[in-house]
Amino acid sequence: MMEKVQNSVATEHTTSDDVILSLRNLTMRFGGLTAVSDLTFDVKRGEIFGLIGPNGAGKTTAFNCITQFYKATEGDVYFYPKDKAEVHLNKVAVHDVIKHGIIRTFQNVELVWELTVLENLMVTYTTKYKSIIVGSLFHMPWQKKEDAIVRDKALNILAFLGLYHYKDISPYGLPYGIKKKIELARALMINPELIILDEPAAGLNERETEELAETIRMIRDMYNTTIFLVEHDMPLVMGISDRVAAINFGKLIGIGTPQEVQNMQAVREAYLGSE
Amino acid sequence: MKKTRNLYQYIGFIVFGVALILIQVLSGARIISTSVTRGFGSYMIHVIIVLGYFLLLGYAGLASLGTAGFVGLGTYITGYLLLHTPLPPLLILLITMLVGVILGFVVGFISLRIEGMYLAIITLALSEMLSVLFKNAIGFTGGTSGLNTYGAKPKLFGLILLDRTNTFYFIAVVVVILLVLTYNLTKSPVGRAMLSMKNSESAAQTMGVSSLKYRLFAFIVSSVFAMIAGFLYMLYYRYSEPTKWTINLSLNVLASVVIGGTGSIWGILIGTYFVFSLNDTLLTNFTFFQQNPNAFIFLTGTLMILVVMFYPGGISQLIFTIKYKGKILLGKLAKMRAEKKEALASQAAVAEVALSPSETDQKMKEGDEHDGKSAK
Repeated sequence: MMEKVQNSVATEHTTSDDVILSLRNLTMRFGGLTAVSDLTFDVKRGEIFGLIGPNGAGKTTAFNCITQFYKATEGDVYFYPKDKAEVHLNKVAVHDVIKHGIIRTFQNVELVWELTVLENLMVTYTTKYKSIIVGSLFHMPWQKKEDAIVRDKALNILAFLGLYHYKDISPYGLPYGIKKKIELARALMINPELIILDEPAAGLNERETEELAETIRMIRDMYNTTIFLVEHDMPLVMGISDRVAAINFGKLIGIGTPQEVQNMQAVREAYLGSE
Repeated sequence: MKKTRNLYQYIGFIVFGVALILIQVLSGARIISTSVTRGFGSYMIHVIIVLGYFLLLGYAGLASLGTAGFVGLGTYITGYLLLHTPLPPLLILLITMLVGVILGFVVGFISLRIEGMYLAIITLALSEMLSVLFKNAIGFTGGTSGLNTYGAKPKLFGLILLDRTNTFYFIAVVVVILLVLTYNLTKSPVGRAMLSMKNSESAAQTMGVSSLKYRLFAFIVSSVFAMIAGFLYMLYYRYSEPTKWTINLSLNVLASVVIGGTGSIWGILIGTYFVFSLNDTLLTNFTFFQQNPNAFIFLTGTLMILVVMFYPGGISQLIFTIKYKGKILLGKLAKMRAEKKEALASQAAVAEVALSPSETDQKMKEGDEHDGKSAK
């Protein structure tokens, strides 16, 4: 028996100012395997929203469908940027997702070893350079100005997250916690409306996880952004999320505040097994 | 700081070009033998091929074994146009570059579907197909007997006859230009985008770097470089034949990039010299290498294995290590000098202030008397 807490979700994709991301009947099949089935929920603007579920529940698949690393077999993902038209994300190529103000991080931190930390951040602005190929071949003066602006922004963000002294070294060999922070810094470069975090606490100890929670809250407040995180670590996701959705076997089994979801029987069964 | 670093590199490239031009000048004055000069002519042409490959493999991370076919095609198009059309050489260059763009486009598209080793195999297959074309399209390429342009007398801008000497100078100028362009790319947003694509395609896509755009770009640039090299080859040697454009050349280009390392263009220049020119310009002066012309291949192969296993950064890594250690050494010397200076200065200061024992007693006496009280 499924318990479901009604949240303010419109069943057709009508928008309310509240909603920034909307999943409608999202389904992903790999051959005979259905990884995600009929997933429907909304994320409200400005909230920290968590997606939880046991291993193999379909969290990562859902994540990849939202960020367009997979194209969903069925269903739709809608994004509602502030003061702009609705975006049907299914139609957006994976490398264009950033243009709408959505950025994601990776569970296994994906940084570029052959660049410095500073340069790693600068790559996020690649699409904003004017005539990038001509500018790069001939080191045109306009590109020098663009570079200076991007560099400045990156340095500010690094300072904001306490990473300034790493700016000129390669991320290779840095402590894991620092690398995760660098990925967060990179995500902030474009002043995103929506940041999607892929198991940000993976591999962190308790103290580091608390630090991460602090950082996430700080980012949400400073940047006025919405945070969607997929996470395994219960204390983290229950501690910082405004609302949480729980999935198992690719299906939504509960949605609501952390308190509410924690107390749902279906969620308990999913994690602890039925008695 | 960044501005001066770029400036130094540019100056370095120009000095490099001037040095090469000097070789030809000295050859004219009979100070350097023609065979050595020929060796450097060959060197310059191979530098161009390797630079293109360096961008493709070292920056975009795309494996290709098709380079030889493209260079060969460049030679044949150039040769054909020189013999059968009145087109001026610069226009012929433009045409070969355009063909390079088209080919790069095609292979770039193919690369979206095929990764890594399989891409290398496909590009090798392409090169082999071109090789078959070279052998059989006798009307175009002269088949296995080769194509020569001895009859053509191309004039640059209609004025300068491109004989061996002038062509050498022309090639040197082209090399410097391409060095500058390649360097510019490595220190630019495009270079960073390509490296991000090489290291992690997922991260690159998240950051807006389109695989399609940058793969196409990488293949187009390397194909155009290969075409330019082919064009210059034909101008310089005035002869081309299918046996020259085999996997042998492609593998040697790969070896140059591996041995040279992808961290520094100077590493690439040294690596290319080692693989393609060391033998002809230096080692053949020694009888051992004269008697054993294949000994050098042994050397190249061994060096490749050693580099890949123990020193993956190649010669570029060596350059950085030398620079780094050099900086540390200079820092230490400067520190030592500063400390020594300080030691001398404080010695002098103490000497000024210190008095001899008798002087000290005298001063104390004077002080006591001044106080009006005698301690004794």
